[in-house]
Amino acid sequence: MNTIQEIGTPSSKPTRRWLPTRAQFRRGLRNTFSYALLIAITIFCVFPIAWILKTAFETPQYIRNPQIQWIPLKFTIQNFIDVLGNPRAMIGRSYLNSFYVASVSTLFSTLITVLAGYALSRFTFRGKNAFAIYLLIINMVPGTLILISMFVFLVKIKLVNSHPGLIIYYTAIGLPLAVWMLKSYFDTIPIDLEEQAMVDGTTRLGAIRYIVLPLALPGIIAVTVYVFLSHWNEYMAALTIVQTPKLRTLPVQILNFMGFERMDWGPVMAYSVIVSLPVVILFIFAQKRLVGGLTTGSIK
Amino acid sequence: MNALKKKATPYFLILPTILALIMFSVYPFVSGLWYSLTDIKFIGGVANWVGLDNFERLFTGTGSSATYFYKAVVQNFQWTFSVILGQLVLGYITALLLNEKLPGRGVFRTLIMLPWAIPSVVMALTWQWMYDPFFGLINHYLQAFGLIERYQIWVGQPNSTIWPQVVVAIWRGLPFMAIMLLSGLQSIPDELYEAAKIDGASAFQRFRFITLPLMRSVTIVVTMLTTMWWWNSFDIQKVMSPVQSLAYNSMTLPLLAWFEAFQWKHLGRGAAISVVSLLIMFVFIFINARRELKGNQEGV
Repeated sequence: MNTIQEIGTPSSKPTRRWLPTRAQFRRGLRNTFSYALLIAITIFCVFPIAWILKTAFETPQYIRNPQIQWIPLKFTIQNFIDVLGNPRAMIGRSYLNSFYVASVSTLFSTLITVLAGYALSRFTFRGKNAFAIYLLIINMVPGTLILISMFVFLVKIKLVNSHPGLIIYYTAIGLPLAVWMLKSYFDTIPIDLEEQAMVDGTTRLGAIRYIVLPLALPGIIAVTVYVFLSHWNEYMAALTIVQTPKLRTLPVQILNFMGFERMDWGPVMAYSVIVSLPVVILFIFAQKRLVGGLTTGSIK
Repeated sequence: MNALKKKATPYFLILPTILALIMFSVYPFVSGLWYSLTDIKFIGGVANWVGLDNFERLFTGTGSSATYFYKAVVQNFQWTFSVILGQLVLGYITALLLNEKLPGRGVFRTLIMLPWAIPSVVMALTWQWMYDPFFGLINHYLQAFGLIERYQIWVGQPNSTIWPQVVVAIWRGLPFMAIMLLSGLQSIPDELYEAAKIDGASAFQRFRFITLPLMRSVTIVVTMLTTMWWWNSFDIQKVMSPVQSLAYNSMTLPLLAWFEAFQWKHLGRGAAISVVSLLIMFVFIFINARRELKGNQEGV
């Protein structure tokens, strides 16, 4: 009974009441409960990250402490200085390796797939369904299977244990994902604009070049960021294909470093911060569009 | 001429992608299948046909990895099922909460997304530090809350189990799951809920008869996608297994395949394990996809 009144005229309350109405009270209770649950989940998601930061900025002798402190007992940047100065960490070298491999392979994956994403979004053609199903099924194939045959392939063309080898592998695994996400971005761009342009005498490629690409650019950037992140974080192939220490990428190098510094978590966590910071910033920067692309792609 | 040109355009646009996919995705996949029937050598890549020998070794228990094989299959099921179930339950709760028009939910959303941004190796390392047997905060809090009597050794030992790793995987995959489900929830028009409210449906009824049916296809797609990913996941298991060796009770198929291929240098047998893993997943997805799509035509 209460509810109908509430929906009808919320502003026509007769007098100001000091006590909340029953509906208000219930809504308040519900919101409180929601907030409590939301905060609990957020804590679950964030506490390991807080723990990385805490350990990274803690003075070494307080890290291994039977008491758990969430604020460093004695704040220090010594761990960062240690890591950056430690020749075994090879942090500069690995950073360059990671950046080089991830950006070149991302560039390849995106360049190769932009037009295919457009075609998948705009045309119906024979084989389109088979193509789309292949892109989905390839998700099922274990990475180890692809890695084994890519490894053999790279041994044969003498590119194993080299950056070009890793770049070839990353380009390969980046392709299906990039096509799929790009298709869903092109889906969000109204088709009328390019049709108008084509009526006005532009060719299809002209319409793509001057109308579609500029509109899709933010989406393409988001896809690029996502593919870049997944290549930057990749571990299995980086561990397998590259053996020479000075060619290692960050994920392999940080684990290797932890092996040396067994149980010395301060420098390892400082290393973690240095590795994660750029990708976390990129991720937060791109997250809105990223989420949009992923979700429309999979729900359709 | 013009008609031909029009017909040829999509093929022209996807040609680079098709070529790249054939070279880097179809070819490795097919050759991987072929290698599982050979005794391909780690050095040189000479492959001799051995028929089903690699598979026979697995099932009859004469290969070096065969002792682990059945255990790995069973645990891969346990691993995938519990990870996906945990992500779905927590993901649904999170998505429902974020879908409420609570002030400040943007901040919560960004914070909840963070585990997704951290490189997988870094977060596996961090959890390893939190699981530390002497100074880890998980031991500390579990003891403080009276859930364990004395400190446990959770991971990285030959007798460690998969369950501590399952927690890490749920934590890692929660953001993706929640965001996908959230976008599904947001696509349900508000009018439906309001109409049901006017008709006197309770919150639970609204959830049961509006939200759940309309979320069906999103849930199926997301579940299938994440099932494929986590079935094949490698990073967490690798980082948390003992250095250079295998833990019987935390063995899963991707880890076993990788060890067989690259640690024990039997590429063919590693490929065979991957093929078995792929077949299991394929049958599972195929059965489910058919049943679900029959029930709900607008599916994928």
